[in-house]
Amino acid sequence: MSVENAPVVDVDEAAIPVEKKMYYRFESNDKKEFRVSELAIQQSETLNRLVEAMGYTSEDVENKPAIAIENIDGKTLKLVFQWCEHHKGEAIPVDDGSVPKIVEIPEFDAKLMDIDNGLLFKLIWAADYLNIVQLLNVSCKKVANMAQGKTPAQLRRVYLLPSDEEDEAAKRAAQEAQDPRAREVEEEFEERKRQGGNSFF
Amino acid sequence: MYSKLSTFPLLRLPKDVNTKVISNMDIIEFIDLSILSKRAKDLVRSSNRKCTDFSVALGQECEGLIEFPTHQSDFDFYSTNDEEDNFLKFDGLRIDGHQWRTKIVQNFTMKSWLNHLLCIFHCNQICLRIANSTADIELIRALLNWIKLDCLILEEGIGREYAEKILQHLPYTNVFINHVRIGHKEFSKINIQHMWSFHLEENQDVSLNDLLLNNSKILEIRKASLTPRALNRFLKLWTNNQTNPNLQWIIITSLVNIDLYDSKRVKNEVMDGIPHQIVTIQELKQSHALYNEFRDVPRTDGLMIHRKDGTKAAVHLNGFNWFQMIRLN
Repeated sequence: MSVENAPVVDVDEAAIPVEKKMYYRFESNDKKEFRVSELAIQQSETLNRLVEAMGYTSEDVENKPAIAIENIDGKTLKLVFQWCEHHKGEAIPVDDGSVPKIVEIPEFDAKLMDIDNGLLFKLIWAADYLNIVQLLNVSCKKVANMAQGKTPAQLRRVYLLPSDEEDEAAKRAAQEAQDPRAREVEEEFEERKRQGGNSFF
Repeated sequence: MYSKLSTFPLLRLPKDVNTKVISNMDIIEFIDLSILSKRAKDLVRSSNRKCTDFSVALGQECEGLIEFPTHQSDFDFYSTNDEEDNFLKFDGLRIDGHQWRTKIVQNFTMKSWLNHLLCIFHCNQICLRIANSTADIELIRALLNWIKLDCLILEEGIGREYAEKILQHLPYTNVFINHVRIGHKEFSKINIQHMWSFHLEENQDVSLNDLLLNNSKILEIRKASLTPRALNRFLKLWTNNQTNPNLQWIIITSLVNIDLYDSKRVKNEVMDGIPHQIVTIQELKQSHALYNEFRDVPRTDGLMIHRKDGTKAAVHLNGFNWFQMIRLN
């Protein structure tokens, strides 16, 4: 099944559910609504627990407001639910703690994640928040693959990793932002040292 | 399709997620990342990639092996400056054929590389193999610094004097001496150190006194020049609490002055005057975990002996050339 044909229903685009079975309605933080099958929901530990706790019947789903997922936008949530629908019924992998991880990215997932890194970043946050183990596995693998064939200097650029000096400077800036007086004290101290004074007080 | 060097803010992911990303990297990418900054090093450490063994061999070359549960990687240190022969100043590292030529590690020496690798792979001890006498002992000590020397292997080719010096000056837990003859006096000096295991290979001038001085838990002597009579004396002293109290397991092979085809006579000579009873290997396996844990433990029935203080041990004799004693409690 292609990414485009994955059975996630955007309410604005299709008001009638695709299949006659239990499904749930979710709403993103930008008010986009999705209908997702019960089986697909099981891929997300967080959502699965949530709907179990709510104890919704089919009528509740229709009559009550959609379940709000407040920290994920519609574009990201659509990818998440497409992934869940495609992989519904699949066993959820258990992390055996082994390193390095052996993760294969299936073709469907590779296409789904052929997105800009900003959206990939949001997708990973969503997979982590919703606790979708395998989606998190493949998306982390995708990020790890960015390191392939890179020099250390390129890795620094790709992953935006600051040097020790930059980290130190950022730390100092953060401290100063918290306490503006700290910089004044430091400057005063330096000035006294330059003047040959050996006591600050 | 997006540019190969498009950026991804790895550090802005939740900590357990960026750990997961790093867990998917191979060893070279993993090391590449670790050298970028202190924060990056902490990050790779948090992914918990632990090695099971880390060994370094000092010989004509400085090379080694890092073993992980699923694979192993070999490495070697070299000098980018051909004139440099002090291995502590070797500044190049090759792992699985990959070399680091980046400016980031331009000040790295063999010592700093070693410390770095041990740190990121959660290891605080190494196995050191010394295969020739060229490395200055003080340099080796400087190299090890805080690193625990779990195992020291002295290979054929290093001189007796050098071997004795090494044994006196390096702290170690397990020692393997292969084909290096150690003098009697020096043997006594090294034996009084606290060791877990001591293994001697081939034709050592080991006497009964040496066995009595040894303070290790495991003592293995291959091709020893001990007679059955000497072993009998050793067992008698053991039953009278007059040997090393730490000794748990002793293995001696190739006894001398015996009739190769008369194993019964050897047994009678070794056990002469020592009360003992036969205990089957099944019974030993059932009641003593050691018999199931180690590969080299005997597979034959044993002879149970008792020490005055109630300690029991099983003696195993395999024909004419193989003696083992295992403490059972």
